[in-house]
Amino acid sequence: MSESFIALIEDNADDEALTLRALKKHGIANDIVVLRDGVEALAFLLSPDKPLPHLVLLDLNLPRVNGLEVLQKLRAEARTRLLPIVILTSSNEERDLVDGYRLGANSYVRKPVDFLQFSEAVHQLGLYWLVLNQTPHR
Amino acid sequence: MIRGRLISSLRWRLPMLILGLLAAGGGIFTWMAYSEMRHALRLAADERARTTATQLADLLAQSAAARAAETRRLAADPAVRRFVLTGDDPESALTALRPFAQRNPQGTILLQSRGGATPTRVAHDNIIVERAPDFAARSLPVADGIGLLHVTGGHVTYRAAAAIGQSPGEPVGNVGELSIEHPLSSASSANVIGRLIGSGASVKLGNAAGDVWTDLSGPVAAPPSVSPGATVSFADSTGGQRLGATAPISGTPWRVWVEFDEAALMGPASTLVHRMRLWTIGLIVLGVAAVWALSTGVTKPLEQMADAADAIASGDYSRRANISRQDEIGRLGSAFNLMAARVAESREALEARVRERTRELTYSREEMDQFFAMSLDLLSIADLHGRFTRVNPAWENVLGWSSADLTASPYVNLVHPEDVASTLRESEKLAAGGAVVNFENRYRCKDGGYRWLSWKAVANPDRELIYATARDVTDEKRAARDLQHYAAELSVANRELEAFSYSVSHDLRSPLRSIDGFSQALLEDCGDRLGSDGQEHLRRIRGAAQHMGQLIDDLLKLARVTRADLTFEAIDLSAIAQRTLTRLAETHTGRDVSWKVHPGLRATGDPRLIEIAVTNLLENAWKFTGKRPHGEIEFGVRNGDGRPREYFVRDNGAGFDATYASKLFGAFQRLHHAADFPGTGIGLATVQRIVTRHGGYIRAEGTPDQGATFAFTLPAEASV
Repeated sequence: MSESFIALIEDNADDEALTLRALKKHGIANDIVVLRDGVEALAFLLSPDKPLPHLVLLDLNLPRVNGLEVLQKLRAEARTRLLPIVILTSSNEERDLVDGYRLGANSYVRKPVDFLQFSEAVHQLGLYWLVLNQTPHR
Repeated sequence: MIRGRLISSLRWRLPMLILGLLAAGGGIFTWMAYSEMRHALRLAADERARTTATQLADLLAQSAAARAAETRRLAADPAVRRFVLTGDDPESALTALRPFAQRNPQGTILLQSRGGATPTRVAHDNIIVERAPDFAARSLPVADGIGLLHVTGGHVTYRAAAAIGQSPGEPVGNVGELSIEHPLSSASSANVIGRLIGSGASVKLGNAAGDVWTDLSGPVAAPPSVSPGATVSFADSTGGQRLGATAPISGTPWRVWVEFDEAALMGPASTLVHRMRLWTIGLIVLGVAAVWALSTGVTKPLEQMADAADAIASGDYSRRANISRQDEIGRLGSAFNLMAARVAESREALEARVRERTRELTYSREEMDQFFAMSLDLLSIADLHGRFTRVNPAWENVLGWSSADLTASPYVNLVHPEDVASTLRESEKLAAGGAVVNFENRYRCKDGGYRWLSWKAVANPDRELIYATARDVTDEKRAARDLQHYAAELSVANRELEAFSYSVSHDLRSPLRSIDGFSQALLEDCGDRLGSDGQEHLRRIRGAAQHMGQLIDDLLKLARVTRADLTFEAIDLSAIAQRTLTRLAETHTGRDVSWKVHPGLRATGDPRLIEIAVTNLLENAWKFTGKRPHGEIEFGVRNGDGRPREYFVRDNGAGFDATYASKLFGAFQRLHHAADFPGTGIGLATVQRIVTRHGGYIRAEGTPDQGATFAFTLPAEASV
């Protein structure tokens, strides 16, 4: 695994495939780790012997532990408090938006139905977060 | 008539007073005059009596003196002397005495001499000549002069004696005495005396000692004693008043008594008194009559006034006192009449006012009764002991009980068992003088059910009554309960809807994304193998998926609009419009659109929803001017035509057929083909929903190919 990798927390297999496709399409070379539900995500991100990703793409609609809870827990841990987390969700609910920011997400991006738009969004995300944005390294 | 005792009646008092005064005055005056006169008369009478007595006494004294002198003369006769001294020749003495004796046949002449050895007595007719050696021892006293009167054989006599002494003219006692006993009755002298003193008077003669008296005809009773020079008034045997005086007869041991008929003497006084009495009485009568007339003249008008006053007091206000005098009484009378007239006037005015007030009161009372009877609320009056005394018809209408039912027993009997305690507490509060507001309890209806009543009551402690009004709030309570119930249901439904929307926005979009995504992937990866038909199919698939995504978004938006709570704030519409159009221009760089936004347009509404509405309208305008080489969009406000203030979005786009205008605002309704102008048909429905929630409306005007104008109102707006 290369140093900087992206953690994608997504339960929907289709969405997972499309996201990966989009990332690949736009040449984001990093490795991607897919975590399929909140429990898995927390286990991975919080275990001290696992490396931290460069960016976390977090879907909200997760089974067992939902996205906002994951976010909350991640922000509660010193280990993951400063971790760049981008909420990537199909929800357009104001509530989710507000809660996301409140709980400490760095960004909130809506997944459009149109794949091309979706692809573009992913491209933008990658560009910004992996290239442009500076993140604190531990 | 003036009622009351005689003494207190003015009409009687004045005359009585005058009567008293006059009587007293007259009486006193008469009495004084009478007294004076009587006194004067008395004095005169006294004087007369005394004078008469004195005169008579003088007269009688003279007569007596003559007798005495006569006796002395006789005694000095020589023959008489000779006999007395020597005792010789009594016959001569006798002869010497005989002429006198003959002249006085009633008298007895007694010649006495002392001496001789033996008594000798010679008598002839009425002459007695005696000689005795001791005649001093005899009973007959020797007195020289006139002797006392004494009664002898029914006659009053006296002795005139002369002592014969040794020498003539020298009476020496004890030698001899000549005494002549005269009877003191002489008709002639009585006549003379009678003539002298007048009729009605009588004379008596008596010893100075007062033991023998005579009226010259015989012995009589002694008159009342009185000292000489004084007079005495006494009543005689017949009761007549007599006045007597006495005077000593000098030269004799006698007195003379004169008495007069006092009445005759006092006559003038009596006459005077009588006359004065008559005059006095006359004056009194006159005076009383005059005073009576005067006082009647005063009291009659007063009585009249009093009668009139009584009549007025009893209610006859037309009575007046009929007094036509000009003096003070007359003035009183006119003043009284004036006052009576005023009283009548003011009473009339008062009565008129009372009538007026009574009318008003009755009217207002009737009004009140009307409302009492009409009121839909349950009005009641109760006593302080838990009983209704009066209820209005509403009670029967609401609860079914008649007025008789409700007043028959304590009202707690009709109260729901659970409310009895609180009802009693409130009743006590009222009995103590408090008021009750918004107290609720349940009352049993005649049909057995219960109804909720909301009370307001006040107590009037003075009247010991409670006034209460109650409203049947059963339906309201039920409605409130139902409302709560529905609200609860509604909020549950809302929550469910929210949850539903939430899951929809996630769960419905995901598959669409997959469809679109993998279609595109297919297109990209295997597009050349699919051929143009296949590619076309995939494009359609993608299009459908995207369209559905849009639909979902719009539906969610619409639902949110319906659900959301409105928060009213001031909104800058111009700013919203400007922002939206700018964004559209930036997003669609190929378009040539100019716009005009009226500045300073403000409204009051929910900012988010209004933004959605304005945005929708402007996006529509943008979309439907898409075919124009140069699009024009205007956002402004207009009023006029009798319409309220309308905000409008006008474009020069494709317009629409006004025939189908009614479909414009229906959800999913489209008047254009999707090929020409894509859209879900929900936008306008959303705008309408938003505007309606703000209490306004939206209208559309359009002509095919000549643009459209959408105008809407926001009633709760601030001024521009």
